[in-house]
Amino acid sequence: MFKKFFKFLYGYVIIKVYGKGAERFLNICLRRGISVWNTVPIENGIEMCVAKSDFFLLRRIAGKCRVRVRIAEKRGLFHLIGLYRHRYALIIGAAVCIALLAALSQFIWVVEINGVENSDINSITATLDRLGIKSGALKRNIPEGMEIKREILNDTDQIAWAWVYIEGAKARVEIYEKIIPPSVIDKSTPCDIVAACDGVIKKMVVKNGEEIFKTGDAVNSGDVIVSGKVSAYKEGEEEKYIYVHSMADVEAYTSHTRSGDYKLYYESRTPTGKHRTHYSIEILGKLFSLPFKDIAYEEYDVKESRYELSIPFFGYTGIALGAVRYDEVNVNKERLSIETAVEFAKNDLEEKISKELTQGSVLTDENVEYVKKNNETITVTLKMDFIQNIAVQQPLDTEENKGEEIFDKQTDRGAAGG
Amino acid sequence: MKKRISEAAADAWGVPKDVIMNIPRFTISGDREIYIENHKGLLGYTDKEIRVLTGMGTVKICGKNLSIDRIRLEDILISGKFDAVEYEI
Repeated sequence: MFKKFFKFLYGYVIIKVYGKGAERFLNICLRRGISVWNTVPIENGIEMCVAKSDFFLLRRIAGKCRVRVRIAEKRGLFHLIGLYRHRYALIIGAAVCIALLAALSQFIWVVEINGVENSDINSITATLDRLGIKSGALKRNIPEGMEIKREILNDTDQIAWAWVYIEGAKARVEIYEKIIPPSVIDKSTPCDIVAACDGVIKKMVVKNGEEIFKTGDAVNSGDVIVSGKVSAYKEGEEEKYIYVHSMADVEAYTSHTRSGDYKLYYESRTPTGKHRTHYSIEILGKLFSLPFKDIAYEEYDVKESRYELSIPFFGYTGIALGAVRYDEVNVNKERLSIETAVEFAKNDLEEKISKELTQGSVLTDENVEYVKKNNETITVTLKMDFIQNIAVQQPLDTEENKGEEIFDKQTDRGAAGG
Repeated sequence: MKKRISEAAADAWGVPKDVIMNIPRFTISGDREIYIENHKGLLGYTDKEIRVLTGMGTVKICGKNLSIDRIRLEDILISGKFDAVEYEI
């Protein structure tokens, strides 16, 4: 790489040596310390490269070997400069282009924020705007990294660490969010135990609170099973209640049913090899779409790519090429047997039902039924029975307390053990 | 006689023969690349045949798409698809 660069810098000529003594010519060149490279055999001779400075030494060797030497091409930096020295517009254009690139690279044109999942990105963007990290900002006016980090951490609670990397005309903001520990159950907050779903209570262990339902009772989703409002008076006395944090393990027989329509064929997509690409140019954050005719393909896959123009020493120039590639595909329908389609549907429905379950649920029975809708579709219904913990804590609406729903993990663990 | 003495000396002292006897050293990588050290010059060069002069005679390399990747006073690197390497002593 470096050799090539220096050869280009100093300049070289590609010569064609014709005659029977071409090999002898090459040997003499080597003996006299003339460097020769890229030797290629041609008709009645050899083509080779020699340094520009050595070219004038070849004349005597050519005479001695009785060969004809012809210059095929001249290459090198100074040769190029000489070639274009009268093309003033080109030179001025190139100089203006370099100057523009140099000037534009002094600004931030794109702000990229990575690592934000749970935090409010608008809040981070607002902080960055306030600090001057925005499109069009001059790089030298950007505050120091520690200051940016401090400001971002102060403005957003959920962020553990942040840093801004300046890469040419792009400011890359890396954010690391805090891992929030699970909330500790506040046992001083009064709450009810309600049913997470419909079911028949199999076993109930009440640790705190007043039972509303008993073992063997059927409950609907949202029914209060154990109340946190406990009566504290005797008959004939004035009604008084105390509010407690209800705790209970409630195991119940539950049934979950899901159904869906499924195809009796499998679609495979094979590329035909035809494709079209829609290009767009992004300049300083603004997108310019290049002309593109509508796609005539019936079925196609889409793949998006983005190429940023970076220049050594300057970095990202603020210019990027966007390409959306449309690959035509043949869609082949492979017929599936009903058993295979039902098996596939069952797995899919099981996955959907599993999202409704609490931790530690035990499957007791399952049943799959299907109805053929037409030649291409079947309707599959999956019914699954479980023994599961249905106790969910729900804050009690008292005058002192209006909190959020709390899930008691202790009761979940109790059900898993059962 | 001279060769015999130099060969005997190389054998006796355990010195590589190409150093003492002025003979070429060939490094052949499969049928794709030949590196020749200690050559005396190029005698013929086409894309089907390359002839190299060495201290022990001429070496002819036959094949297809032959080319000299690098040539210096002491060594040559030849690449292509070789069919034969022949010694013409």
